[in-house]
Amino acid sequence: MGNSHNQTEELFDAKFLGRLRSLFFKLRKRRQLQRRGQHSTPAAGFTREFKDHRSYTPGDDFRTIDWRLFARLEKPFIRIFEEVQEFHVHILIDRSGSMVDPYPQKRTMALRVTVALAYLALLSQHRVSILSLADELRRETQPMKGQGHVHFLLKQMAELEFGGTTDLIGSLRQFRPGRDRRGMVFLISDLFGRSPETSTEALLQATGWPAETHVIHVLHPREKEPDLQGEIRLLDVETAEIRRIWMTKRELARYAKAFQQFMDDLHRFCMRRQIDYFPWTTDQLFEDTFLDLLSRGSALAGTG
Amino acid sequence: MRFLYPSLFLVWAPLVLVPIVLYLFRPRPRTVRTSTLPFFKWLAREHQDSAWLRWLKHLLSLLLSILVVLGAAAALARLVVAPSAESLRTVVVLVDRSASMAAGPEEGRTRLQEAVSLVEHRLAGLSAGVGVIVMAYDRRPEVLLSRSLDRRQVRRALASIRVRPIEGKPAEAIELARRLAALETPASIWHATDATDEARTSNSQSSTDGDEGAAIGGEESHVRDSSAAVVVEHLGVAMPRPRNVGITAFRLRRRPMERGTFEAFVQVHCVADEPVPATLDIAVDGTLVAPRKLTLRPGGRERLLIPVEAAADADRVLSLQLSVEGDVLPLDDVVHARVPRLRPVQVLWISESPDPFTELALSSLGIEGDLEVLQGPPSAWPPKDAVDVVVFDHWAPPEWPTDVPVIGVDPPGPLGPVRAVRIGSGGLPLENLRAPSRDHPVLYGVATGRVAVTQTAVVEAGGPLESLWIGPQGPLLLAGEIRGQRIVVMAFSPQHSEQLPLMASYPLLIGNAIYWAAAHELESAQGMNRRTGELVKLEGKHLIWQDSRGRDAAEGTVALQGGAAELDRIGPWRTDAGQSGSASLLSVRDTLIPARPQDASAGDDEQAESPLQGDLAPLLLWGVLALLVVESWLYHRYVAY
Repeated sequence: MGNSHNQTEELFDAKFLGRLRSLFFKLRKRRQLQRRGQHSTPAAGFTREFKDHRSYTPGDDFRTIDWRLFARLEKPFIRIFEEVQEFHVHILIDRSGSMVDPYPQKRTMALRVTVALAYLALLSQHRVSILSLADELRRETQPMKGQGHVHFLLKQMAELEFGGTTDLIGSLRQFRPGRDRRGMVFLISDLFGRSPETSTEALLQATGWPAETHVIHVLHPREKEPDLQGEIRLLDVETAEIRRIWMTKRELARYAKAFQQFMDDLHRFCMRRQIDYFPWTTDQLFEDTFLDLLSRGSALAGTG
Repeated sequence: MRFLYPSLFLVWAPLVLVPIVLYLFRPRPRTVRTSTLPFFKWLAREHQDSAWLRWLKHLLSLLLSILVVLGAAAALARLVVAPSAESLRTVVVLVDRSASMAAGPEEGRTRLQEAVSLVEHRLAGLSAGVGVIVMAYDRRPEVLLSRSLDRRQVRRALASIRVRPIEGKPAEAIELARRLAALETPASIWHATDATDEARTSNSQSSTDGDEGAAIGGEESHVRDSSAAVVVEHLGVAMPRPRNVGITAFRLRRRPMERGTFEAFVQVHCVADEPVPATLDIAVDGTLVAPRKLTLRPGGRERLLIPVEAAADADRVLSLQLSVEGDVLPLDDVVHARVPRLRPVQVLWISESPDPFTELALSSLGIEGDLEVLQGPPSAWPPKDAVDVVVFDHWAPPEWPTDVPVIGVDPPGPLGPVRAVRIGSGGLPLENLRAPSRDHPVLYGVATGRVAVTQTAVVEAGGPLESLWIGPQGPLLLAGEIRGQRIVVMAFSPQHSEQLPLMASYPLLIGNAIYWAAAHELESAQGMNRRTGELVKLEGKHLIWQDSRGRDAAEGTVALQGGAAELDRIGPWRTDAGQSGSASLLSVRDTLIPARPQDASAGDDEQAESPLQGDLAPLLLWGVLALLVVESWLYHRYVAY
């Protein structure tokens, strides 16, 4: 327990939580400026809350006339409602070995993004489910709703253990979001499978999800451009496979080109299938990057 | 197999420990944990091997490194394979530098280069204590280096050998080499030549004295001189299938009865496997006169007669150039000859009472201007000016001249070195003369069978004089050369002969005798067309070689020493004293380039393996280089392993 508390303090210290709150207010302010009003589309699972009256003007929907008020004041007024949408936010976090080794910053970054997204969703009265994937998909929390689950969320995330191999295809195949509510899926992973080709094959599963899907590609800068020279014995952190290689500047350039090609392929693949692809390296500023993430048309940014 | 410098091997060979130590204590590469191994594997996809294969490669790398070090050490220590040089004390290197050794190039090298290379290869395997004598020969042998233990001097001497356009005569050279080799025995003579065994045998009688031993190296044969313990080893460098056409004989002579016209006799030999088309370009003073197309049979010869007009004002240079596709020896394709200017032959006729028929014959010959006859009584002898021929008609000088050709007609008694006895009572009429040498130039065109003469003297035959007409009392027409002087004796009286004086045969006989007797003088005075390698007496201080147009060649001036010079080039020449001539190869031996015998194919195979004999340093260095290349290819063609 004490260890978990320490980890929680380490990952999500008071400063971070304060930044989250300010982030939430920023988002709400932005949302007020972008409010859509009464013309939101009614749909199953929606709640309509009364907000105000306004004088009837020709052309208004006469079904919205408050007849009781008309009986009392003999003047027609129409009722104005505020539409509140409830989403089921699924957050899939990669807990494979490559997310913590050799760059633990990736783990920290992934957890912080997870917590931030979940915090934002809980404050916006959405249902939140957190699942982790490595060699298989695992549910970390039951669906949560309301601010009261924030501390539970922090505790769970702090206790999440990373390690093992990645089976992206198998894990994502196991994930089946419900069709009862509109869903949002955030996949937070480095997308390193057994080979670069398996990543796109795994993301192919996301096209069948009835949800708005965001892929947050967590990377360390050294993964894009490694700082290796000379003869090196490479040890794969997940499979413990060993390869020897002699790295030269030319080979470094080839590696960087190949990695960039890998990212470009992912981006192209996601764009064609209306999946939001968001690369996030650990050296980026959290708040700015998070706001960028939400400003990319996420429904999460438009509610609350 | 041994090292010439074993200490160097001992110094460098321990370096083999370096790769072994490096192998045993090779630095292990640092281990880096990575999450992106698939991308690195994509870089190194072409070289994904297992641990045992990697171990095998390390071991192979170690082995290659050891081989490289040992190979380099052995090369520095001069590893040699010399199976037969242990017991020798002297080696005489005898290199044929005659014209045929310029044949080629086969694989970019002439026969001489091949011979020098072969000798150098064998020299490398020779023990340091064996003295080496370097000789070269063409028509004459030359000792280029007396006995030396310094191999650099030997190599310099070998490198200085150049082909000379001169016919080769190995017999004298081998004999001289034997004498030199016999000074310090046991000795071996390495005779590098393109001549076959047959040619060597015919040229070197001394080589047949001993027993033949086993061959070593390429086409080699041993001949042991049992008395002097000298072994002659012939290192054959003959070409396998030579193709050569060359001019092997040339002679320029005046056409009888045609003033100002010469006739060039040309003989062309061919060595080939099939009929060879050839073109003979005939040029006078550098201007092409007439090309002739020839088709030469393999191993055959072609003889040609080419008319040449002489000029009155100056000598002309006649050039013959053979053009044959694939000809391996250009030296025998060209002949230069000087065509002497028109000059009458000066004849001094001494007679107490001039014979009218002889006078008629001489005057008829002089009509064309070819002869200038000076007639005088015995008191006019000796003449003030030199003449080409002297005719003593029924008279003999008390002191016999030895520096001028003489024709003695109706001798009154002995004629100098020729003993003759006068026949009394007006002579002896003869018919049906016998002519044993009908082809002699003096009898050219003479109808011997129709001649009837009156013999007036009996001449002692034998010796250098050749009997051309023989009667019952002995020879009555003789011709020959006594101590360099040409003499023609006519032991009959034209005036008293019945049929001879009024026949055309008599002027012909007189004219033939004059031209034959004066041939040497005419040639020496008006141009000497000689073969290369001949020693000629020359006047003046310099011999100047010229081109086919008669212009002095650049760097063609040679200082004359001792009044003689060896004609060692092909082309026309002159001296600053006014002499002129030409030199051409004209050698049947060098034109008929011998082919490598078929039965020497086994020897060729051995020769192909000969890189494993002698000095192996170059081979080892190439091997080291090859090992390095192999190692680079195996281990450094990819970035990863």
